[in-house]
Amino acid sequence: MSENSYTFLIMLILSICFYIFMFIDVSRKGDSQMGYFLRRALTSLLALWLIVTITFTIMHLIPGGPFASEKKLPDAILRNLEQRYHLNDPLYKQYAGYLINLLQGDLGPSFKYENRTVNSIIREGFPVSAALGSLAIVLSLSAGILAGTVSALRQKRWQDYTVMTMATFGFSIPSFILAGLLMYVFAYKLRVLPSALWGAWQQAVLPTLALAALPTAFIARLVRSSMLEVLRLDYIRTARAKGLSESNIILRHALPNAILPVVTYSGPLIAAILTGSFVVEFIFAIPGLGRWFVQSITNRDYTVILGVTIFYSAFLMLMNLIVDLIYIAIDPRIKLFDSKEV
Amino acid sequence: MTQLLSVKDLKVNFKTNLGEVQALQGVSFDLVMGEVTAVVGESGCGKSVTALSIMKLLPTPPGCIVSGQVIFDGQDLLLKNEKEMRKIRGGSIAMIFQETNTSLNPTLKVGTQIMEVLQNHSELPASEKKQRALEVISMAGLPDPEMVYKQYPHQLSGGMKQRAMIAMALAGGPRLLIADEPTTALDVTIQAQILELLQELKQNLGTSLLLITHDLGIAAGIASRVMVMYAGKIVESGTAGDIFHDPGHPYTRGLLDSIPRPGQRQKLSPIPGRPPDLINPPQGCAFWPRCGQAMLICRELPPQATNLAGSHQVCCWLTHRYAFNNY
Repeated sequence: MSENSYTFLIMLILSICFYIFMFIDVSRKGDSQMGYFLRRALTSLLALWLIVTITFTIMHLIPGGPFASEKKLPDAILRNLEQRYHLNDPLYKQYAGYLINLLQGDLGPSFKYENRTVNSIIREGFPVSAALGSLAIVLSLSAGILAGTVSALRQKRWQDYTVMTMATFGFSIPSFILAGLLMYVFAYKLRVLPSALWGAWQQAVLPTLALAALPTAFIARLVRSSMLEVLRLDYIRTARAKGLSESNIILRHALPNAILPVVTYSGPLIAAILTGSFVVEFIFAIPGLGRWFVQSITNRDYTVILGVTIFYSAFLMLMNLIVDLIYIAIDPRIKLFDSKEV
Repeated sequence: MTQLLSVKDLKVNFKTNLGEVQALQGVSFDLVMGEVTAVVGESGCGKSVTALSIMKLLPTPPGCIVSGQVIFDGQDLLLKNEKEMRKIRGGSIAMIFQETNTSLNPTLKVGTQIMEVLQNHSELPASEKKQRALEVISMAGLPDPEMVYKQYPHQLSGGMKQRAMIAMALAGGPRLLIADEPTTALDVTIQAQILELLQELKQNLGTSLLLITHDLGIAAGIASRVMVMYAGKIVESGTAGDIFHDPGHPYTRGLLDSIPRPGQRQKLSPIPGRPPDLINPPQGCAFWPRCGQAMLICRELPPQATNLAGSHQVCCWLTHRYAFNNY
């Protein structure tokens, strides 16, 4: 193991160095649009490499392996299996082999489930997770912005107190408890909604609620405070002095400025929905990617762990890029690159 | 001399944690059509509150218009509801503000912000509205209106932003323009340009201007009538000549003495003390604790306005007909 750990250490340090180096480079000002995206793509690739390396290292440091089970396999079979999946090669060789396959877009076979590749797992699981996640994001954004705006406009009145009390609950109840509660009330007691699985729209209601509760509460509080701040600003007074109607002032002048912090939060929001979906998918037995991910870790299904981690990371990076682009669209003062626009 | 606006005995309070601040304690004045009237005074004396009360833009709460009348066009604005006020704001009365950097919405293009006024107040056909917007931009002295129309506020300089504000105010074709410290945030050369522009607009469009400023120089340069405010009251009003050449109130004289003059050898003589606490205003004249000529009666009773020559009014016991005429 000691020889292996040295190799790891060197790989790790190397990729971290490259990554930091790229970051220094990426913060350059006055990029062209093309240059900006190229640089950003390159940094993301390096970050992915770093993630692969770290995950690979940690994964192999956890005791146990994909074929360790309570029923001990005969040595010969174990050796054959390890031979087949190259698990008896030195680690650097495994690492290099994985990277080469990765570059070709092949995330390898699952160790635990025969006849399944990681690619096929992602292809099947991701659409389900994406559907659930999008529902939760749409719900938390719309409900959060609406609730936050209402409570800001009705500050210190019952609407405000109601929203803020609910937000505190949403904020402090973990999703797995909320999931259980929702299941108990709506599926077991009232019997109005199914308790698990995926397919019909009724099955989407409870997991979406469980998943969206926390971000909704967070966004509501965020929008409330920034709305209160924006409403006190000079340009709102200017808008009033122009004789605009109250709804026009709120929708055109205040809201676009008040939701800027929400746009900033949407990066972490997507991440929260992703990690939240691990738990929620597990509880509601939804065949999404999150459940696969959780299972792969308990199974020590090395390739699935790595593959799903890489996929999630790449997805998050893409989302962050999109969030940055939305930011420019809303606030014209922000510039990521030199554009020819006036 | 037709009156455009007449404010009668306006009283405004602000509720704070420490008590009720009596921001305006019975302000009365008339604005004459087509004239520039300046309101001067130190910060906190109620200049901006007066302006915001005319437009009914005071944040309520904490602000509260206790009593008074604001008569514009024969109608009391204070009796109008929000919907009726919205027609007047930006239409017949427009306002420009002090903070050029924060008074324009950073997320909307200048053109959009001007078009909003036209959509609300103008009866022009839609096709001509943009033309009108470009027209007011160039009236405000901005070069290349097409370009400015498409720009965001942060792409303009401070002076240009104030011109854009003025363009926005002009779009509704106002008969009264209220300018609340329009040049305070700008440097001196730009200040002069903006003042020149305001004067030009007054002459060409016949718009009356209510100019709020703490700068006596600006008031002297542009206003035909000047009102001096102190502690929520107008203490002296008159033509610019009356105020600057023949000041009647000790406070006005104090203000004029605090202006450095080129070539002056003596030390500046500032007004001692500080403005009174408006939660518990002094019983008599608000200025007596700082006044070098205060008499016994000044502590007891607030002075009434006395007419000196013409329209020159002073609110001071020294000008009372029973007082020694030795100010």
